[in-house]
Amino acid sequence: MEYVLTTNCLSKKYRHSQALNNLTMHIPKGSIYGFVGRNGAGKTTLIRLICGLQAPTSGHFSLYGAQNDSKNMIKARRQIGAVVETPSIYLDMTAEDNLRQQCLILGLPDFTGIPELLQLVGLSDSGKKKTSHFSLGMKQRLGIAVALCGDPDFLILDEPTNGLDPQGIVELRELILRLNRERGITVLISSHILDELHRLATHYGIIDQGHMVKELSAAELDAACRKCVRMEVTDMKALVRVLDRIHVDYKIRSAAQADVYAKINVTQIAAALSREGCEILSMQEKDESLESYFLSLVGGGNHA
Amino acid sequence: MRKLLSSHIARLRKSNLLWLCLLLVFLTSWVAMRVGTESMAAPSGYDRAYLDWYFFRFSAYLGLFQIAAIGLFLGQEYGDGTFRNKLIIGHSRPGIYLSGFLACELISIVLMVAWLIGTLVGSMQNPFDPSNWEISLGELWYYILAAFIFTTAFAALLTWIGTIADNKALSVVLMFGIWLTMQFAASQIYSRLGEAEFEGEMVYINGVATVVNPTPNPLYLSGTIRIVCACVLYFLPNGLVFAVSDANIEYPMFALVFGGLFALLTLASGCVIFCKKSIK
Repeated sequence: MEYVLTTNCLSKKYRHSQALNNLTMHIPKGSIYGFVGRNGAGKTTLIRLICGLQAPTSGHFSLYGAQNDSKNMIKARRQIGAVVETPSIYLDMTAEDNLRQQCLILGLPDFTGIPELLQLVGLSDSGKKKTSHFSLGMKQRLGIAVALCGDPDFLILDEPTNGLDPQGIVELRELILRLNRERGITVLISSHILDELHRLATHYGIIDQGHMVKELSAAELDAACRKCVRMEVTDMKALVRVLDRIHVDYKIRSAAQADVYAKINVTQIAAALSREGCEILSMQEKDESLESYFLSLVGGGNHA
Repeated sequence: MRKLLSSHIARLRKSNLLWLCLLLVFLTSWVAMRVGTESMAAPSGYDRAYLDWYFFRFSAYLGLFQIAAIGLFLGQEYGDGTFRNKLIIGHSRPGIYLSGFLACELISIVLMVAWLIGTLVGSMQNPFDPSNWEISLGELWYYILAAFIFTTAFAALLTWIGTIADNKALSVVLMFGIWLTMQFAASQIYSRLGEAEFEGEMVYINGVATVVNPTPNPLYLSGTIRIVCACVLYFLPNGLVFAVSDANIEYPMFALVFGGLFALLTLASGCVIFCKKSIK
């Protein structure tokens, strides 16, 4: 698998705190990578390191194959666009002038791509309005347009839905999905709003106290959070025979426990197992929500 | 760096504040020169007055206009965080810092040009007639060069402050505060250097002021200490401003060297600090 960004034991220490602690992550090309963590987990710190705003204390990262301390990193950065915390825009300029500024900084030969960009983010009607008069959602979208100016392959968005109203969140989500689908842009999106990420991400990285707790794909996360009936029986082989006979999906957890991913008729299952000489010790309905799965990984008792 | 400079220039063209500062500099230098040269025509104790007595007076206020124009320019860049876009796409920190300084230098030069034009236009006497000048043409160019040096030093200092401060308001407050401190220090040194060598009763004989029964002035600085104080004065941009505004530079080469040294040291140290700065 090709990775756009990999980090290897990346650490960042400030005077009184360890923001990142041996963080290792892998962002596949073409994915929408949901970077999940509590407030203060280290998400923004990692993004700042990748964007070159700060230097790591130890460890390294690789962007398009270029190491962070190599000369090739400058060329590699040319392929990324980012919105770090708040959009970096000139408040006394219009949306179009902000994009012109970015085009000049990038050394683009002309400004012909600007109308298309404005249309893409839904700001084509902003006209001569100065960005100081924009709503938060409009500023966020302009920030994304600025990040997209250089036609990047990798877009980094740091909590882009913060402060947005529900419509703004929906519009932003649709924009990100469109960028990923139509332009093949890899997206790293950090958030602490799990539900929103769940609608977007193809891969997840769960961070806690500066350390990567788990990386998994969306399919793996769905599998982990599926509704099931957890059965504890005296004869696992008997249970397997009965479940295979009725063609239901199941997963064996241990010699005595299995998760059954189907709505089962308890009376029929019990009767079938009884004929096989198998006793049911317990049956529990399990419904792991995304939040409970996340909390089970990072420890729900601790609060940032 | 060419890309960064072109973006700065595009911003400056659209900056209403810069155009306002240019207009104000032109108008106030025009008025200052007009008032000064009008007074030259009035009866006074002098045989005649010269343009160079008033030509450089307004240069004392250029620093304030630089603070206004550069403070806002850098405040938007560093206070609002838009320079992060440049870092993210791979521009180097020295390149970002130096391009910011060059933009500030451009602002300073256009303010200086507005001052020179306003002063020339405001003069009631013909500024192109050498007889209206006490100093030679070479000296006139020298003082213009010295003015260029102190505006460059200010640009370097304001760039230094603008990149260190984390927000616009702090940036302008620091700029103004440091300017005031240097102004005070420079004025003390300048007035001490301006002490006459001899003191005594002054009388006018045949229209010329003459000191009668002169005695050595204990406050007069001489020898090495005088040179050292002069060098310190020229090192401070405000000190060079005082000397230029009175067209009174005692050690011409030292003025250029120490004024330029301030600009260079400020630029270099600012670049180093910015390269190491942790940015949010």
